[in-house]
Amino acid sequence: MSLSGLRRPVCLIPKFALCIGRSLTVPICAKRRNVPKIMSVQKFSASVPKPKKETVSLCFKLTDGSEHTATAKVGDNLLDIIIDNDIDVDGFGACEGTLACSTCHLIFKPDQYEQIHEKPTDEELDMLDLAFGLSDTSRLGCQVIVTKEMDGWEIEVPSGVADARG
Amino acid sequence: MAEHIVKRVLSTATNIASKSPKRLLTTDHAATTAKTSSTISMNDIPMSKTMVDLPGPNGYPLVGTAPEYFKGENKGQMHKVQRRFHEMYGPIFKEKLGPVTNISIADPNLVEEVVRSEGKFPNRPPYPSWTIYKKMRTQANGLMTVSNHEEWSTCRTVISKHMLRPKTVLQYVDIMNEVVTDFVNRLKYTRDNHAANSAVPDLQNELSKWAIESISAVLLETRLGCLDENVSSENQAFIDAVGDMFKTGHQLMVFAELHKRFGTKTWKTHVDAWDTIYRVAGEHIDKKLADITEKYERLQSGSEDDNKASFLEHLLGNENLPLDAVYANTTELMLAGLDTSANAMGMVTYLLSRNPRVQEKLIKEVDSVLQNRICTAEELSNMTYARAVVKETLRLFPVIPINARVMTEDTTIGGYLIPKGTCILLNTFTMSRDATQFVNPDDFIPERWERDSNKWNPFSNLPFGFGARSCAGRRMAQQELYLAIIRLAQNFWLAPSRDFDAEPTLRTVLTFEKDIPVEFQDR
Repeated sequence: MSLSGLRRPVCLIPKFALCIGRSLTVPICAKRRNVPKIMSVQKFSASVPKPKKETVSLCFKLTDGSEHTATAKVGDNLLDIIIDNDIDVDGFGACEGTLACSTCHLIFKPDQYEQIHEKPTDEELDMLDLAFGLSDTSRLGCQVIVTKEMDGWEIEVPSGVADARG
Repeated sequence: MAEHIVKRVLSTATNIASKSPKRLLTTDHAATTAKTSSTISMNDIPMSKTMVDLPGPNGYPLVGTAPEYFKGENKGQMHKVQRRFHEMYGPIFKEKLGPVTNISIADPNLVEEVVRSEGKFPNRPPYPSWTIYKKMRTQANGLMTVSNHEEWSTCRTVISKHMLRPKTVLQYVDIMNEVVTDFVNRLKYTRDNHAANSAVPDLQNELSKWAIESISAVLLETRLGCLDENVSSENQAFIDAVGDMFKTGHQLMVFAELHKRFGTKTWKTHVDAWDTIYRVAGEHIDKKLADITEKYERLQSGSEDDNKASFLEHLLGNENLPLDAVYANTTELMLAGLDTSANAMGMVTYLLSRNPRVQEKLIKEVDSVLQNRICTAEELSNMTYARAVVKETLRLFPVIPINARVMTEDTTIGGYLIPKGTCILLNTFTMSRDATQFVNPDDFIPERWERDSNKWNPFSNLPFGFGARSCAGRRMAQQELYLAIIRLAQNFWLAPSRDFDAEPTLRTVLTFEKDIPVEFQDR
């Protein structure tokens, strides 16, 4: 029997779990809502300086007419903010912020769109092409980092991310 | 029977209309149902058509259209046979392949309908032969072979985080560049020592060596030495086995069970190939695990303070992923990353050699941005033409020319009610060369990818698939390809080596089975 599986050092599992947990070098399967500190550092925020505890207020407008005000930390991305604030948009963020889908599609007001610090990359534009109801001021929430200029912004969460089967 | 269908259509329509009327406003049928969602009656609903109403080739009794794919010039050309069927039966048709009936679609709007309704757990079916092999050897599934929803979701979450996020991927620019340096030296070495002209003997194999080095450097932080003067027989066996596995897996698409029962040559080759893949990859992963164990021992004893976690450590750190799944996933990422990138690279070199205008423009961009320097992570975003060259290559030769989905619910596609469990083939190749979408569809024109000029429906060209179940290695592969073609442009002028057009064949991935007729002349 030559399969490597049988030669594996089975005892490795608990051993790794133990030392990994202790040395805190590897993020252990973090659920989004319970992210250890080390994970939040690895989000899409590396290039933006983050003054501690600085927050802004954002208003998300859903297609059903409802409005949700959320407190957002400067330096976080908009996908995380929508998830963390339990704003319920079916199918939102399907690829978990890895820029592999376009379900965290958001629409900004034209002047505010221009103020977003980081311009969309080629990768983001490729994904945006596939967004439902694309507009000239569309961005993907996972790629937009909150800055303090955003205080009071109203951001539209377009329909069409929903799974047709509910 | 008719009553049953009517009932089913009615219940689906009611279900869809009441749950999400907004989404379906895009189709006439849905517009009607949405308007009347509260008072649905038989008269209000235009009758959905069913599978019975779909056009398609008749095929033969029992085997369906399967023989069509094995006869004469159709061999290894499934993507073209499918295209011919679309020309005959339209953008959606049904086809009996052995015991199952598949649906094929080649229309961006229908593709959009499929992928937008696929829910949280899209199902891209594995080959039946993979599932049978895994069961026979009691192997864990990885991202490529898994079909179970929960299992897929666990693997996908942890792998995506470390393979798809653009900023994570950029961290691998240096190591990928290091591999490309060895690759270029290797090309020069084999060309100068083993060929009469400027061709590189067995170029496809050299490209495979580059691809396996590159993906192993990412996954295992290990250089396998495939680009050294002599490649180890084990690593060469791995490369060969991956080709064999995909080739036989493709041939075993129908009647895999029968092949197994009768112990056919195809089945035996398939099993041997998988065994080799697992053996060689297993040995490499074993070695890396031993290194990691040592590292943690040093960390615990305080003699080392390195807290940079490798890809494998991230997998190991996920408590939902058992160790056998770590092995399976890493192995599958290695083999998938090898064969797709290598063949995409083969297509790029082929197309560049046939299109001197494009090659000159690429060289001009590379020279003006980089002069002779090695491309950095920052500079990569400025290489717009190099990126367009790769995109255009994948339009003409999508490495996976036929994608697939199994619907997890009854779904209406193009007005036809498709029962859940039906396999839908998405014909990327056919759509990517559709003259109604792309001007001069068979020509290699990277300029069409300039942002302001692309006017086609983006669902026409999804070489990496769509959404949560799209290619997990997409971004790593793109980056590998960008860095490699940039360096080739810095070093070589690619010229067609023989006076004929090579024709790729399909063995799960599109490949030049024989040699690629390209010469690598020094610039």
